[in-house]
Amino acid sequence: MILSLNEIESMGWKAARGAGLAWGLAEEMAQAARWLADHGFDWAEPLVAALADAEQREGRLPPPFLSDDGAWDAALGEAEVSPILCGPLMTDIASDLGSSRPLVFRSVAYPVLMLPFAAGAAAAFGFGLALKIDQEDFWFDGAGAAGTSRLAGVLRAGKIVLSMPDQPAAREVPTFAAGAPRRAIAPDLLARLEAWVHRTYVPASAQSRLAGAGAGLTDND
Amino acid sequence: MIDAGTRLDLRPPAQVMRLARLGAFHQTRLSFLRAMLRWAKREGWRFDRPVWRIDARGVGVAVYTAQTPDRTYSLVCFGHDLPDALRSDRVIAEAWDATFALYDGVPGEAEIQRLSENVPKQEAGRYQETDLVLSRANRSVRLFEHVVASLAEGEQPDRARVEEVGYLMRTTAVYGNGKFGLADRDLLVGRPEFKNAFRAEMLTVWLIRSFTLDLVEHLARTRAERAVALDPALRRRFGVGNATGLGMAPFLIRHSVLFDRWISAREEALAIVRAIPSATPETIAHFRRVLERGRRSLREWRTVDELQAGRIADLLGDLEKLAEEAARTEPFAQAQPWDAWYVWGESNLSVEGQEYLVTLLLEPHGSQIDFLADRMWADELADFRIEGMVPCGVLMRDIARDYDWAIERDFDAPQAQARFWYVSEEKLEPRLGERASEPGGALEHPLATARDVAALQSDLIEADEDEPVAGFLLRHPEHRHAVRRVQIAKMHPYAEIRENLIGADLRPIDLLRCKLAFFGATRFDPRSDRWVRISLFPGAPFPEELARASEDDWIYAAFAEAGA
Repeated sequence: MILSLNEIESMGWKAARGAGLAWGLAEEMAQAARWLADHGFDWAEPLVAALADAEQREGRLPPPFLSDDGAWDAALGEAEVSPILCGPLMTDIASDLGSSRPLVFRSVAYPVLMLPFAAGAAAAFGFGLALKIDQEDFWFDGAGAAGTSRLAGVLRAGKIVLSMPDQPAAREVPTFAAGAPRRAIAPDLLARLEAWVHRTYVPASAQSRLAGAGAGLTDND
Repeated sequence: MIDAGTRLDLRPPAQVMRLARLGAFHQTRLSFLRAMLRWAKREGWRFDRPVWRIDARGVGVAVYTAQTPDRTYSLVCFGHDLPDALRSDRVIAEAWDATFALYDGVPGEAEIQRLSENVPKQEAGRYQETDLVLSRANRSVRLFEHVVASLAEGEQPDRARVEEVGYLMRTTAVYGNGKFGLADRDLLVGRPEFKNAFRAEMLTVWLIRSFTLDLVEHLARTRAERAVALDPALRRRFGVGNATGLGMAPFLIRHSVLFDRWISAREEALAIVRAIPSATPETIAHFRRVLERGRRSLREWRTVDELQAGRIADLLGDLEKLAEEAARTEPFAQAQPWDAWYVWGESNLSVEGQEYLVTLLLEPHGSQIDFLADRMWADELADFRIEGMVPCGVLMRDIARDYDWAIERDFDAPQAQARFWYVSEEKLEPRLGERASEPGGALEHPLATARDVAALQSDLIEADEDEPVAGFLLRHPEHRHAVRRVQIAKMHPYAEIRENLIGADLRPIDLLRCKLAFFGATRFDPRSDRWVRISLFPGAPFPEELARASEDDWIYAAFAEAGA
């Protein structure tokens, strides 16, 4: 199946909700999936992995906490923090960035899901932002994105740093442009997403069949 | 002309963003179908019908092309032979009299073949980026056969019957924006002709209208040699019907930034007109002309809905008052005469009449306001990010200011949460349920804007005033969607409909009416409180007439004028 961006967004929104996330986070995961697909990234595999974790926790993911050294860490007793919380947090607080005050996140799962949030922050502010995920460099300038990796299959990042560099140093690296060709989604991933989506639907009842859409008058005249 | 220093007074959101008013909106010259036709005329689009392979039963394929300065778009039409028993306007139907796709370019035979294997199946087919819009339509049982039979007899159809129905076919869905694999809107926003919302959909429906008229004339000709074509003036009176249900309603809530752009454009246009220092003889004559023609066409507005019938009666009374007032010269002779008209309307007309007056006031002032029709789009992602460094105390004050209408409400009262919006498993369409008697309330969609902001506010009371909202949201992710709405509403004053959208007294039809008025629909005919029929393009020029069509006030042409 080859999905349009709108279908990816719509599926992401409902699947995230079906996996137990709050509506607002579901909106953010939907936009993240759409951004990844639009820029040629594999979006379905990390999304399914992150949503599966969320489902295991019944949607109540343990939030990161701010360490004494100013970095965001996984909650006590947790090996990692979900990008479902970390990504939105990064854009929420991106206006606190200073040229000598980066945002630092440690032990983030499925780090490719952080890219759309860095892109969203750069677009909102209209200036360049650099994102370093362990050894990989990414650059966002509001209109486009560049990077040294597609982070395919990377399950956890030790350290992620969002910063406002003086110089757009990473400009020579490959550019991820919007408008990437549509690609087929693997059937098993599609089935996982659709199973979550299905949970958001309300089964029909006799009453809803009659009243839900307000039918009743003849519509064939 | 307006002095650049003139301050424009916009109507406050507390006045505009109520469903009693939004649900009384009428089309204006900013409406999408009129703006689309002005654009096509200005750019000198050319039209053709390169393919017509329709048989004597109406089965086959036809292609209509619209050539812009840069591109060509094609409406690919498939005619079917649908037994009467299968005909249904419900979005859940599985067969139609005709199905359509708007195609990016001119389709070759292989593409027509691909489309013929999918378009007739509508939602069950799959589409690709060359396919921009998908639609289908059913014949009017009341009118279609009558028109074919009359023409085949060499007669014109009965004008009263044509007037009664107004269209040969009604569309039951018009899909775009990536549905079922169609092109995403991202592709269209880069094209000036389709940058504004729903322009491609409007082009599709306009070309469907041509197909429906060509079809009846074709069927009459194949039936009898003595068949005649429709009288051109009568032909123009046909629009395209449309049956619209609840599915359209959540759009205005989910696309609040875009909705703000639509309302803002209309309100700015009204403010510009109200600020004009004096009226010219031409604008006065124009105002009087559309008022008079509007009165005549409103008398032809038929509805089976008692509430709407009452409102039409009130509106006709309002237009009598307006006509009496407009017969005098004094109302036009004052300073800022159009502002005086508006103010007079507020104290003399029903809400429906006031909003019709807005339509009339905009009409003679195209040269000052038509540019606003090209601002009715939005980059919604630009406002998606939550500003999390805002202190909770500031957010609370924003809510108190912009959502006073929401937080004053008692949501513990059963009638305040009587309804819930959901998507049905059976039909995958938005529905409205009764919370007390139907299952599924836990699966409700986030359209309970007032209740959710009220819940956010009551949790914010517990938070430290100085704490950044981001920290609050880590503890309360369930409030993220409400925080986003509050921050959007702060930037976009007309983004939020100021009503409890899950209340017992909600009339969903008001949401539909508002959106359809922006499309440019007329003859609203509510079939229940959540299903409405309308007409699009009655009176409009056909593609082959567009270049020669004069003023853009065809929409006020009364039926009674046809052939007169």
